[in-house]
Amino acid sequence: MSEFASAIGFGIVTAAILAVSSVGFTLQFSVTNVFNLSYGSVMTATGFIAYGLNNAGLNIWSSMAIAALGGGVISVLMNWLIFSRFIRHGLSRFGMVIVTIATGLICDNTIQAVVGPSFYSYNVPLERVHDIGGMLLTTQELIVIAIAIVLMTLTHVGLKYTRLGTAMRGLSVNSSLARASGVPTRRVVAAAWFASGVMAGIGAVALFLDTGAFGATTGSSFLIIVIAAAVLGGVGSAEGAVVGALVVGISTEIAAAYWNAELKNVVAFLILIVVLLVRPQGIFSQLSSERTAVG
Amino acid sequence: MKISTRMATVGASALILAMSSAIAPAWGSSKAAHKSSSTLEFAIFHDYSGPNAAYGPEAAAGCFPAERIINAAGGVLGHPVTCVPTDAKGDPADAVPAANRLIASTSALVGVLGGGSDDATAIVPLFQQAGIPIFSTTGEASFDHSTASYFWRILSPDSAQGAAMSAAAKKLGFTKVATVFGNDSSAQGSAPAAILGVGKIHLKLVANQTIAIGQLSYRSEVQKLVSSKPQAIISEADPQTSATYFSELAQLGTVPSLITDPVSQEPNWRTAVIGAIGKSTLNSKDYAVVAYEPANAPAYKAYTGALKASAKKVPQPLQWESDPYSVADYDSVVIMALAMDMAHSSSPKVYNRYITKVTNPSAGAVVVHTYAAGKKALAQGKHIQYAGASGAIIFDRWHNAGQGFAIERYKNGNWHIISRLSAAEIKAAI
Repeated sequence: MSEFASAIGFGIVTAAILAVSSVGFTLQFSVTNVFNLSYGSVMTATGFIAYGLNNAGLNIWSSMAIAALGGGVISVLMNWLIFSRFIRHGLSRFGMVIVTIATGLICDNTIQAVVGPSFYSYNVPLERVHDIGGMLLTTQELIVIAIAIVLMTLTHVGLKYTRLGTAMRGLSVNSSLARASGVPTRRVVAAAWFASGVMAGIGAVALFLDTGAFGATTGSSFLIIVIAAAVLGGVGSAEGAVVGALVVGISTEIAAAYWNAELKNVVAFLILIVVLLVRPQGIFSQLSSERTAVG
Repeated sequence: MKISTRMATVGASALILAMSSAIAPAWGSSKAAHKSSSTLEFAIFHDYSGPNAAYGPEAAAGCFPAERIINAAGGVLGHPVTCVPTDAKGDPADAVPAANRLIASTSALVGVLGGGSDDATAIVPLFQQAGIPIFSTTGEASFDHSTASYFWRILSPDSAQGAAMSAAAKKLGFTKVATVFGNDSSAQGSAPAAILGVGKIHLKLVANQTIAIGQLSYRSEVQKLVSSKPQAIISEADPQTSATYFSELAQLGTVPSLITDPVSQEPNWRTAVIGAIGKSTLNSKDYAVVAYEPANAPAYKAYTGALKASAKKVPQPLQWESDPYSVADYDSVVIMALAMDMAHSSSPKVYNRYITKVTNPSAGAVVVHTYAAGKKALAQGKHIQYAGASGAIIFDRWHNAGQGFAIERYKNGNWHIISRLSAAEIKAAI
């Protein structure tokens, strides 16, 4: 039983890290309809911003907050300088995916040229675990879970009860109608990119704290699992991304605890395939398939 | 003024003749000049991008010091040598076209340092077909009996490495061990021999884990390992995976002794794991089982001296001082250069068969430890046996050398040999 409780606890930590990153990814897609595969690179860049601040003496949580704002700015700039121009030229959705891949590769290689092939770690004390109902968690992990809960709550409340959130939901359902109804599309889109970048930053620091060390390609290497959680929950649905992250996080840890550690990701992706076979739009998504990109 | 066709033809012909007269001597002289001063190229064909982007600089830390000492001794057959970094890009799909481009792009290519565990199987046949010697750092068992005549491997194969790691566990007095290997090709080269070796020498294998590399978390795996209470962990995994795994192990309060392989001596690995668990923990727990390299040997001193002097081409050179892959790459370039001297030819297809003639023992051979000494002895008509910074390098008929093993610990900024493994001890684990 305690092994099971431990696996659940570990899964929740993994889910918390994934949830923040996946919600950022899916929120931006829901508003802009751009499947942004440079998201991992934004995570890496913000992770290094936090590293610079942390190395200069700032504590990791303050570094996370400032780096997250930096991630927001990076995302907005990426859209303004690159993606929106292609969208205005009427590039197809597939073409936009290629543009985001290219942007990501440029970012990753630029980061690697600057920081080199080495690995880096945040300056945080090594912590011991606390036994919480059979779940073994460190203080850092508890803080990450708390941040994830607060962030998800704020996202849910923001989307549901604020004017900006309502505008975002309107754009995600029907951008033409939203525009015609007077929604300031560009500002809403910029806000979506900013929010996405902020969550990429928070997710990155949480991820890099968890892995113990990170390099120039670490963010991109975890992108597939972030996308898997987002797709499982339903791309475009913040609540879905949270559920997707929980499913992925807990299933991988249970698989490692009771079956074969080598195949933990196989379990997660098998679940993804089964869910998509039964419900192709994911668990929660209600996005129209006729949407166009919004820049 | 109208110009007749005939006049135009005459004028054009005169122009062409004049241009040819001007160019031809220049062509001839430049060709002659090319022949006498053309630089011989050793390609560093390793990853300079992607997740293994440290492999390129690691190999460069062997090549550039060799380039320095060879050129200081007058080059090879009057030609200066140069190392040419070429990005293998990290996976076979990209490495193959990159290798083809390298082969096609220069006639001055005389040797290659390349072929890591991620791409050796794909690229070695290309250099074999092109007739260019390739000194590889792959440990894959598929090369243990290689029939590729242009393939050369100085470092021990992974199978021997794995057996040595289990032999080291016994020598260090451990009776209950766990094995934790990444599921990539590099780590899986050593894993079967290590696991088999543990059984052969009657140690108790309390946990055997193959972990998926590059995961977000290994908490469940770590908890299973801790509950098995090993005295030591025999392990190989990439830097990122090792950092994540060991950091979660440290969080649970227990880091047993670690028995690792040459990967743990790479600066990248140490940086990642130190960042995760701290320098004092790593240094106090880690035993690296590596190819035996006598640190006071003249060849090793020559290597470290040249390495330090190559700081312009090798940033932070001292980080590679004890890296067995860098040391092996240094020896590789020196061996190729000496083989060219002995063959009196820089043609790869000619000098390739002289490689064993400058490394393997033979009657009356003078043992040399530096390129300059070897070149001098060859010029005097003597046979030589180059014993390099990696120690004596004796190739078998499959062009594998391999050396004895030693157990090393990191203390006061340096690796120190604490014990050597005898051939009998390793044989018992095979």
